[in-house]
Amino acid sequence: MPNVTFQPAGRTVEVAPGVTVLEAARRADVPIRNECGGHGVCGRCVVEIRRGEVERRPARHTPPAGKDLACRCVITGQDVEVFVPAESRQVETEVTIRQVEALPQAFPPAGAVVEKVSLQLAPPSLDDNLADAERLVRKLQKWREEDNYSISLRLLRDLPLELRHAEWNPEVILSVEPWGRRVLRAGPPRGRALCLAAVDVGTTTVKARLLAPGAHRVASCYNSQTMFGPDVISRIVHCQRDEEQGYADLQLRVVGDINRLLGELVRESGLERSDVWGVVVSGNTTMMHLLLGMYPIWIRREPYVGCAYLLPSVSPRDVGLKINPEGRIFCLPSVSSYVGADITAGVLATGLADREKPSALIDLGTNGEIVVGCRDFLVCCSASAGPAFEGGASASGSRALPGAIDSVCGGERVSWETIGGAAPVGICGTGYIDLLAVLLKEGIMDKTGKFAPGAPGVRRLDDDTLEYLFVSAEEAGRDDDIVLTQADVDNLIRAKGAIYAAGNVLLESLGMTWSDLEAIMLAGGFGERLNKDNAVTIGLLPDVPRERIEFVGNTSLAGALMAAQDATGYWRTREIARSMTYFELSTHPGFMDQFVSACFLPHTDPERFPTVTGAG
Amino acid sequence: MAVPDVKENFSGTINEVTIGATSEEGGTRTSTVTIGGETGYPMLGFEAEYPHPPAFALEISTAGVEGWHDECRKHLADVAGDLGAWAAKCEEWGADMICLCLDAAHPDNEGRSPQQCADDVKRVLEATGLPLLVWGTDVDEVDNNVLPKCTQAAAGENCLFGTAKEDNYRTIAASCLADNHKVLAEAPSDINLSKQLHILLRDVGVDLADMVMHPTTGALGFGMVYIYTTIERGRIAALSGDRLLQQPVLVNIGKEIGRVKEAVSPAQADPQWGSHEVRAPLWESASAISYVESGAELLVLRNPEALRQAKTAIESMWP
Ligand code: FES
Repeated sequence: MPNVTFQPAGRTVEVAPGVTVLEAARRADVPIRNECGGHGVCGRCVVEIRRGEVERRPARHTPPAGKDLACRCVITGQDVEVFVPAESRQVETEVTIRQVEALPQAFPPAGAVVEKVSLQLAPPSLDDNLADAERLVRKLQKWREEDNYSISLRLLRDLPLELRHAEWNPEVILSVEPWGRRVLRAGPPRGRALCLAAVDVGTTTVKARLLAPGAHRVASCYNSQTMFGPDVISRIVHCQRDEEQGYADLQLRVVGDINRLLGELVRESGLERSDVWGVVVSGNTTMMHLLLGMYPIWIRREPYVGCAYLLPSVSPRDVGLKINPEGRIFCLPSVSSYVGADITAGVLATGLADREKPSALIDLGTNGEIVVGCRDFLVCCSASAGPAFEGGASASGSRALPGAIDSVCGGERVSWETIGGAAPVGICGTGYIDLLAVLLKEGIMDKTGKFAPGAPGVRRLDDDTLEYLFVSAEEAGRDDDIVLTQADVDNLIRAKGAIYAAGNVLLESLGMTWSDLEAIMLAGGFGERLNKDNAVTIGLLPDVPRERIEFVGNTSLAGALMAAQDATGYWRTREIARSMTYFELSTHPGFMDQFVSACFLPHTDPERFPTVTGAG
Repeated sequence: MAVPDVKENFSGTINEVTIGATSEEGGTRTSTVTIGGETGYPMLGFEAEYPHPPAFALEISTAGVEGWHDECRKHLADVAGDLGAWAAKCEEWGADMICLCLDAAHPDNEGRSPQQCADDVKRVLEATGLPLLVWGTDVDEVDNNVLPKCTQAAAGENCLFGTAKEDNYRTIAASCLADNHKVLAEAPSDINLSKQLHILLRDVGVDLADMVMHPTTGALGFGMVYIYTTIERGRIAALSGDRLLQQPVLVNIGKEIGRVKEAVSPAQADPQWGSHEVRAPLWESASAISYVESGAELLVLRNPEALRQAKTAIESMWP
């Protein structure tokens, strides 16, 4: 079999003919960007074939002269040497740390998913000759009104020594279970903090926060599964591609990401990994499957069912998370294959299920989920919007990082600002929303999102491709221009169209309209500087009084945090998941029609957006 | 017991669009065509107004009858080489309008220049007094070069020019505005896409009342049902007051019939289908009649015999 060598990494793999260079790079563990998932569309996987011949497949995107798209080059019988330039290399793995409000000093609070308690046991005597374990349980039963405790065999073996070592005043660590409590440790006081962590596994970004006395940081990084494709579907496809290897790849990646984030956080707080006794994880259904190593492929096949939505707590040993090996991992529950734990967490965090009047929660993440409800009912659906508003799959897209353009203004000259005022590195979700609104208002593109030939900033790439030059390379201080391509615009319009249409379908089936909603809460990690008017101008959000639109940030992480701090929140997510009615849009007769009419700026029916179109 | 009144009243009306300009109106046409104006669903004479019967255009092509089926060609043998004579013949056959297709400008054909195309338009205008519909090549770049020349050549004649599409509408809209023509807006079989295109055209200055819509066309047995329901849906919305769908509808049937094997295959090849002479025009006229029943107001045909059949049928049933 031919060898493929990647430079400058200097790594070689043997692959069968017929494998693409992109795939070979994955196997060699050389990450190459592939925002379009290897379909020859995004043009991010540019490489140079330095030695040997490959077969080139046609692509929508034409690489620069002398360069090739890794996803379009197929290995034939020959050995090849591939040079991966810096721009293509960085599937960004850096961890970003952000300051947030500190937690209260006393941690963990009573009632958290993992608790610590100091007990004073009466030592055994001839009159009171209960066994060690039962003695411990008897005390615990008095401590909390709770009958059921379980102690693992591993713990039992050490228990007699530990209790005596503690001179019958042990420190006990317990975790919650539906049937009672699990004893994780009983022994002499460790003299160390006990902390928990909340983790949000997004398709694009993984975020973690430590729950420790005074901890005030959120760490985030790209989900490194991204190298296998930008969305859940391409990840699932990867699982099928290589059977065992495929989903082991994905599981290892995401576990690695979480370990990296926790490692950073623990180090920053002067703690140790073994101080972390519990992790509450939230994420969409596919991400939960991949994290736990559950086979996800039926999620994408009709009738779209996952392996499990209501998950038991699991041992970190079984998952590979590097926290205290006796700790527990709590996965929040999903509702369906496309409405996941991130959404139940969001409902918890926003209090949607406790509201008196109906409101909506819209998650602008990769799936674009929408929940409408109040304390009497909850309905939800997924718009399959794609990662456009997370900066994924766009030519110059970026997560909401320092340097990401997050706000754009029109006028004589289109101007912009970046997060933290840093030199621009790309455009994040809110930047895209503004940019579309501004280009529309300035007449640089029309209401279908097609660029106007000859408009300022619009340049012609070839006969039928136009693109908008947003920030030139010189101005941006980087190697290439920051641009908005026609494909980007089409993607963004499809994403916003899907979200608006999904919301409409949901509301119509309830006999409601957007104006019946008390609040429209927008969640997502797409930047905090959402300009509501612009979001309405492009028809992403309905034209309702602006004060009803709220930006609620990353509610997936917030929900995980709440559930970790207070086990009643954890149980509540299960009730929420059980009580939500899921609408499958792919078979909904009205969705396609709604979608087509929403794929326009702001919408095909101008009366729906009176403040934008002047119609009414 | 009294029979209850089941008449429906709608808030919307289909736009009336006039094509062609006589000498009083600054043109040289001897007749004009007005379509639209209906106030209810098609053919329900007891409850709605139908001020204008559907209009029929016969197609003539700058590329001749190359590729047209025999039953069409047999009528055109003498005139196909001469656009003027062809147009005059169509007038004789009873067409209300001429549809001039600029096929020869298509790069796959001879790639006729914009000026030559403009001359073709002029020749047809001279040869007939009927109003004119000019149909481009469906190649955006070619249309953008050719159509402005043609709108100019026909300035004052109030023609209908097509087609404007979502991906290519600016040039044709601008040149129709400059030379005072109507715009034929084509969007594939979806009322939302039609609405979107009408908004785009309005945004560049074309009045909603100066558009005719083409939801694309399928022949009987070959996608007609899709277009039929699209037209119906559009009509329901239009009559309920949606101004973005109140444009009259054109369907281009002759060209589609040319792709239908059952309609074009000669009797020797498929004897089980019977006489080609009967079959070919019947397929075309039956398609046309069905479309009128869906609400279409302007029908483009190729075969003069189909025109005769369709007109006779419509006259006998038009409310
Ligand atoms: S073009 Fe190769 S991965 Fe997108």
